[in-house]
Amino acid sequence: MSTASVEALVDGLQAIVGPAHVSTTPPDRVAYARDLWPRSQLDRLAGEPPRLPTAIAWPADTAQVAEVVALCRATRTPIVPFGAGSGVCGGTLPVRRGLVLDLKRLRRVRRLAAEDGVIEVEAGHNGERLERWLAHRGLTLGHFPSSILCSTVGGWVAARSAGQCSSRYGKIEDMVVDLEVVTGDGQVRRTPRVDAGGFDWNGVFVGSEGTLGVITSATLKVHPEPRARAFRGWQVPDIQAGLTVMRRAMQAGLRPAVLRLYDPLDTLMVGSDGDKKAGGGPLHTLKQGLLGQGSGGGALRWILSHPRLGNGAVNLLPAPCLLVTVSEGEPGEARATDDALAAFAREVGAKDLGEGPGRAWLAHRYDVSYKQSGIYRKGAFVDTFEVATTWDKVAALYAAVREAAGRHVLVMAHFSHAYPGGCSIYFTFAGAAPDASAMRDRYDAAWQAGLDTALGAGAAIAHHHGVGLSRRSHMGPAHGDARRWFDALKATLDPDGIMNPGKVFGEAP
Amino acid sequence: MSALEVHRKAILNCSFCPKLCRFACPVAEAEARETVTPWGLMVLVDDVRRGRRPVDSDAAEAWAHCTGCGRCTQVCKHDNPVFEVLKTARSLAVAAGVAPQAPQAWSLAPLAVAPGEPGGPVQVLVGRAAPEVIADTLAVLEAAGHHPLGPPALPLPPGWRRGAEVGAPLALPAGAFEGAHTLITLDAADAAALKQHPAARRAKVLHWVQAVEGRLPEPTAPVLSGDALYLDSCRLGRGLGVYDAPRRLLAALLGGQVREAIMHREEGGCCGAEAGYAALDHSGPGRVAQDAVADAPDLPVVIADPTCAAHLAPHTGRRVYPLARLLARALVARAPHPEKHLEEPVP
Amino acid sequence: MSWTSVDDPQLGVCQRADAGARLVEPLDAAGLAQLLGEYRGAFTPTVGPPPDPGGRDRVWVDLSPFSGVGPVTDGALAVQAGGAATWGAVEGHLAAEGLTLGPVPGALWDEPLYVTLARGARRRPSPRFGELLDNLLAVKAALPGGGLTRSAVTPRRATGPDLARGLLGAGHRAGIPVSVHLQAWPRSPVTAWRAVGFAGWAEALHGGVAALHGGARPAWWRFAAQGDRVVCLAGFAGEAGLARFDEAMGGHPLDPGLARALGDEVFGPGVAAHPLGAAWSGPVSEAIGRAEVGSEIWDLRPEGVTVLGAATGPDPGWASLADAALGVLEGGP
Ligand SMILES: Cc1cc2nc3c(=O)[nH]c(=O)nc-3n(C[C@H](O)[C@H](O)[C@H](O)COP(=O)(O)OP(=O)(O)OC[C@H]3O[C@@H](n4cnc5c(N)ncnc54)[C@H](O)[C@@H]3O)c2cc1C
Ligand code: SF4
Ligand code: SF4
Repeated sequence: MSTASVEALVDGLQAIVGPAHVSTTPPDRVAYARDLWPRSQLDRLAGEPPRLPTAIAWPADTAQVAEVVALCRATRTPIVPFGAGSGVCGGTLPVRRGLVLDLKRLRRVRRLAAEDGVIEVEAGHNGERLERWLAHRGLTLGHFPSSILCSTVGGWVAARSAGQCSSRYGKIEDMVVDLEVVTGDGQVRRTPRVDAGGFDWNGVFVGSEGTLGVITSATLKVHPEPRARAFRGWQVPDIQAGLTVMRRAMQAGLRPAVLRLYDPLDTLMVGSDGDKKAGGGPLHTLKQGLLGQGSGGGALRWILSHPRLGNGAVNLLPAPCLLVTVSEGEPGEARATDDALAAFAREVGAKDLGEGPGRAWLAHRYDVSYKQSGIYRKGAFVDTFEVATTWDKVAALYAAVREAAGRHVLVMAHFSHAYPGGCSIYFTFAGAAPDASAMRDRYDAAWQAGLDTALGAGAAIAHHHGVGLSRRSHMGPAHGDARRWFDALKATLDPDGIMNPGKVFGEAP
Repeated sequence: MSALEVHRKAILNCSFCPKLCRFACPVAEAEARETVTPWGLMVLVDDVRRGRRPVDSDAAEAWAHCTGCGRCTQVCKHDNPVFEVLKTARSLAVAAGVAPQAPQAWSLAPLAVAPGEPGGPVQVLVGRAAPEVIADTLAVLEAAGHHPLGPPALPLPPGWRRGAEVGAPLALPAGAFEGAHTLITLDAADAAALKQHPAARRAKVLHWVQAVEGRLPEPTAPVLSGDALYLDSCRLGRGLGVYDAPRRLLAALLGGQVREAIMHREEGGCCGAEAGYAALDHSGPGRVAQDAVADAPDLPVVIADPTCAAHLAPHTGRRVYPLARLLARALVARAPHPEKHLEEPVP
Repeated sequence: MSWTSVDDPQLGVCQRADAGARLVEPLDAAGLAQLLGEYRGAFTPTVGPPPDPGGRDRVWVDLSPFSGVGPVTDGALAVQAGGAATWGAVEGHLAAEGLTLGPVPGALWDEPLYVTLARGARRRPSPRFGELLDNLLAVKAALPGGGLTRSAVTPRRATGPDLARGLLGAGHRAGIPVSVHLQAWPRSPVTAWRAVGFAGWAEALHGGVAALHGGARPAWWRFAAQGDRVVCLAGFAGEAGLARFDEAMGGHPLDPGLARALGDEVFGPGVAAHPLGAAWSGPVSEAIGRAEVGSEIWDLRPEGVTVLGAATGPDPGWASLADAALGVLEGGP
């Protein structure tokens, strides 16, 4: 953009949102140049200058959003909607520069109709603050992504988010009743409720990652806060046995809030593994390192630079795994669910570890993200890679991804977000290399291997982190000509192609 | 080693962190701006540390967007001392001559002291509270048996405490509190700063609430007839760990209940007044204040620190009472309609 | 060469075309995709010969090749069915394997899956087994203008907008589903019935919501006004919170035989036709005002209910947007 056109854009924006709510200062442009995609972090460590947005604007309400979209249409300025930038796929990177539109000033609760089981809340509302606001009133959304502390309602909807209790409350798409959207043509629209039939516009905007329009508010389902919780940890003989418990529970129509099965390495890391001990030696070092403990980091870097050895050592871990369950609701339901889960667990020979693991999980449900800093600080990297598939393929997919990505990174996983038909596998990749550029190569290789393997296995290449830039390469193969549907929607809703260009499917061929 | 290198671990913790305290930072929430999240502020510090950007006025301006409330550190599982790092960064900006002017000027305003017998054993640092609030607090202290009250032997140099918060520390002369065994402050921030200060080493430092708790007569009638929202001031709560005493004092003054913000006590936010933030020509400090009282839109607001009360009242348009005012009214509870006395706005 | 006239079909991809190619039957999914890619006029899907062939401007595409059902994936209980299979055929296939889709509304029994998807019918009165579309694990469709969509068989749509759902409610203009995967469940027969009477709609619906919050999950239920009372009939299968239903529902118990009689019908063909789609949907509080004598409530959920018989048409703004997007799609790649 020429200086003159930047000035014109900024003038126009200032006229809409007020001078205090537009910025082109270097600190703001740097802060908005990335989200929490670890690849961007590695770029930063490698000293690669980020691609900066031209400007950032903070609209106050839907009308201002609509005016900004109209201005950007007129000036052909790309718009990147921005929630809290907690996305981990590069969804907010301004790859075509342009305007980053931060929605967080839209943070009002517009309507709470507890008797109708819904709340309408603006897109920029922070998740944790919303959940506390609801809890104050004896309600909950039941949506607890690990990023709840640092993400927004609009980001959840746009990136098809899943919370830790999705097996009971559903993913975000199961919670949306209707949406207010400013589509790329500048129109303010409210999606129709889909109860009775007809075209499912909610399904179109959920997961659209800002490519079709700006979500300005969402009507979501709310539930009474659970009055009771039953916690349990089980040591299951192996992964397959744990998966069997999860599958049978969901197919029996149970709705546990949490069903979370850790693989042997993740079990070791979680530490509530009954009688298993890491002892000393490399696994202990690894555990300490991954937990961000211990000083230096040399041992951690060494292990993560030799992933085959590390993964090989993990193969020697005992097979038993930790399965954490939390059942909640009215006391009767929580109890009945817990009892039924216990019956399924006993059938596979699981050992009851009591309430401890479940309670520990709840108390530390968001803490794992703190480990990230320690690992990067010690010169290594970590990322997560989640996929989903049907029960018949889960174990094989797990093994295949471990095998393929395990050549490049240390791999561990847990299995969660269970449905009657299958579940998601949430892999953690950790790696190291002598320098930042080699780290990027290793990182890219691991992702490529993971995505190729998931695609080859007929699995979904993501479960809830979205596409952004990190999965874009595999969207075509994953969806075939369905991309034409996307292009048709895009042409209709965003005729000038200004909405988050380059994301999800990338530019039309 | 650069001054920032001392904080390397803390800086890296934040810059590699997925913004886990973003919901808790009152400034980040009110301004809705990534740059002023603890993460954003610290990434900027890290860029300076790595030599990737200069300490310039843009960076210094961003670093001014922190009230030092300590909520991030309280949430953070690393206990990351964000404000400590920012104080260092601010001092680099001051040294480079690029720090914003308003917070500097704010820090240089003189600190008032109560009149009284020179060099007395109990001294009261009244800060910059409004005269009525000073009078009320002194009356309450008096009723609690703290007398004689006396000023320090030496005048305090301007900016002695707040200077450090904006990056320009000014030393307090040794012997400033010679002869005092108890130092009482009106603002908790002053108490916290004094506790760190060598000049006050020998004295017991108390916030006025600590000095009066349990020493006042029971009020004869409620001073406010209904409920009131009690806000923890961040320096009194998180800073000094004083949560229950002001609530007990307030409860005795109300016809109704002490009501709480959704995030309160250890989780309480901040009103936006401190560390030079309120001096910025920016809408943020006002919005922080509005957020602080938003959970109970219809209730009067009570807070123990006069600086907080003075910041909250004009920005929120709400009835905001310094706790000392209500206590002083209880002491003189002669009025048939006690709330009438309180209708005048709080300075 | 493109198929521009009904007299000029690419017969290579068809197993059958009648005189003038007004009724073509594609060989397979790829053949259908190619037909749709080459023929840019209006077409109507059918299964077998159309009841009324209509004029020469109309082409019928016979989807009989996509009527098969099976196999069922082990473990995941995902049943694969051709888009032209009927719900009844799928349920019949599953019954033989000890599985079920859950209650299939009688009106859908003989309807091919592609028709239901094209109508966008998504609800059914089954808290236990969920909406019809919660049970849709994958759809593969031939698109107007050509091409085949692909989608992993997965419990939840995971990346990007839900393009499979683009098919829903868009008529067949959005594409023709050639293969669908549906979630099946272990067949658990209805073992308990309940009939509960209420003084009015408000009590009945609030009772129903309280029961759901309490954890009750009837395999099916319905609420209908009968005389001066409202009756809820419900059937339970497996561990589905019967005790919690009894605790939370309120009202006064009636003879469970009422529910049982209806339940036998719900699980099989022949129950009174249900006009899915011709209904009003909205929040519970509004539904209470709308439901009158003679009303029936379909699929009560805490955040919304469907009142039968009180249809509201599609929103015109959205309808024209859908129309525009479909136009782009039909224009081909
Ligand atoms: C530590 C950590 C843990 C995480 N755990 C989870 C988890 O458990 N579950 C989960 O689902 N995700 C998780 N994530 C990923 C991320 O938090 C989610 O994708 C979240 O939904 C993003 O919300 P956000 O507000 O930060 O959106 P952003 O990151 O700002 O944006 C995400 C995408 O949505 C678009 N967008 C944002 N707001 C709007 C809007 N209003 N209108 C239109 N488009 C918009 C953006 O353009 C971008 O493409 C995690 C991330 C981190 C860092
Ligand atoms: S203070 Fe702690 S939680 Fe906040 S950004 Fe820094 S490391 Fe993360
Ligand atoms: S000290 Fe308070 S204002 Fe400063 S960054 Fe931390 S939470 Fe924000």
